[in-house]
Amino acid sequence: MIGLIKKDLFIVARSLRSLLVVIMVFSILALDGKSEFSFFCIYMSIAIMMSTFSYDEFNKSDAFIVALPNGKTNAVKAKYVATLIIEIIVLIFSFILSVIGGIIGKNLDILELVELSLYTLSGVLLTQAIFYPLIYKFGVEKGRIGIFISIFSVAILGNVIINGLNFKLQIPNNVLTMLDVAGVYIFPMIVLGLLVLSYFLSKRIYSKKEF
Amino acid sequence: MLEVKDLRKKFVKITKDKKKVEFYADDGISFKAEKGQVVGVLGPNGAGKTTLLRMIGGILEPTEGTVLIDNLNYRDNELEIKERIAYLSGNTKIYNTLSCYELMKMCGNIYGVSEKDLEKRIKDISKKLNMEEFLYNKIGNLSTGQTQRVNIARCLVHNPSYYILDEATSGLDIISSQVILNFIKEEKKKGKTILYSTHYMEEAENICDYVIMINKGVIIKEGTPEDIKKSTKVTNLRDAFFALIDESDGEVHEK
Repeated sequence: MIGLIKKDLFIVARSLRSLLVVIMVFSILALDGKSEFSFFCIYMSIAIMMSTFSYDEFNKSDAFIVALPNGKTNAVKAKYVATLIIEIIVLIFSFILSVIGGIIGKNLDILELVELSLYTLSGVLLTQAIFYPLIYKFGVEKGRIGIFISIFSVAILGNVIINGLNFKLQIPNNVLTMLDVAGVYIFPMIVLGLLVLSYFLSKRIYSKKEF
Repeated sequence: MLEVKDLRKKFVKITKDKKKVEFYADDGISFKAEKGQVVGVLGPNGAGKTTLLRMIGGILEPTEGTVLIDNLNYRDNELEIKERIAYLSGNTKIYNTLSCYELMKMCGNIYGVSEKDLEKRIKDISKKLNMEEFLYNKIGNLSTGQTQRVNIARCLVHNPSYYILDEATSGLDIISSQVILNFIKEEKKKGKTILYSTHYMEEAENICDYVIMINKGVIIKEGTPEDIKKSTKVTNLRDAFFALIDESDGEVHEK
């Protein structure tokens, strides 16, 4: 499995270097107190990892990978682990640069940065948890379309319901604070659980595929 | 030893009337391959060669039957078997943004070859296959013949006991094909077992110790090349194959 992880990291190495440069550029915005921009780039780590799926598809390497002494389970595990590694590398890099930016800009708020990191990581892991089983089931192109459809469907449906019902939320401040705390500390745990479920689903899908 | 027992693989196809029909790509294939033997798997396109080799390579799961390699079966010992085999297909592209060196290193890592051994093996293999001049070039920039040599090289990195080569010379020129055939002969001398599928009967005659002829998923004849030629009363395997099938109806007519 380590070999397969190294393979994916090797494939994305060049793209990762470009991404880290983009993060550095965005981090300059942290000087102006806009530290959140650098964290947006973490979502690009998913896009970069998707390129490994495209790369494997283009090279018809599934038969090659399955013939290796790894088994289909390890092939899926390696993809998930490689993605986590990339996400964490990019997150740490963004965090460090945002701290530096905050120090230079004299507007450093470590707690805000930690919360932002947790929120961002949760969002990225949730995207991964939804994306990957779709990719394993339908391939990269159809999987990408599937995720866009599902995100937009939920957003449109939510919008229709709220506007249609003329629903106006009046949330008390103490509830908002509770939701904020829950969001930072409980939401990541929920997402981790979803990621584990996603892995088992992807494993099941891939084990049934024939090449 | 490699032993295949009553191997079957069922697929579903869709007919012109859009009906789903089941068919067997391989239907009851059994044979053995001993240590140091080159076994040719011959047949026309669509005969079931690739399906057979993919089942033996652990890529496809058989519908029925078993594959035993050194008395190990895939159900209980999948990873141990895969460490002993190298599978090569003429149809697979290989990571063309990597250099040959990088690909061999990656494969060595996957098979658990130590870094120290890996560097030496890459050096030896590249010398043996005349790859030194393009070892650090990107695979996407190589010719078809050079790419196939890279494919062979990545099979050699972990020093397997069994080679499963599926139309390894397909699309190659005569010189590049000869590199592959020479490699097979050398590995055979080392006691490796090689399964070699091809629809070039002349190649099989040149290097195979034992031949299995497949048509429409069944073995129509097996034996040494000499035995097959004698039993069909012809002078080459190509004529032997045609003597065994009728081109018009594809049925076996043994003389």
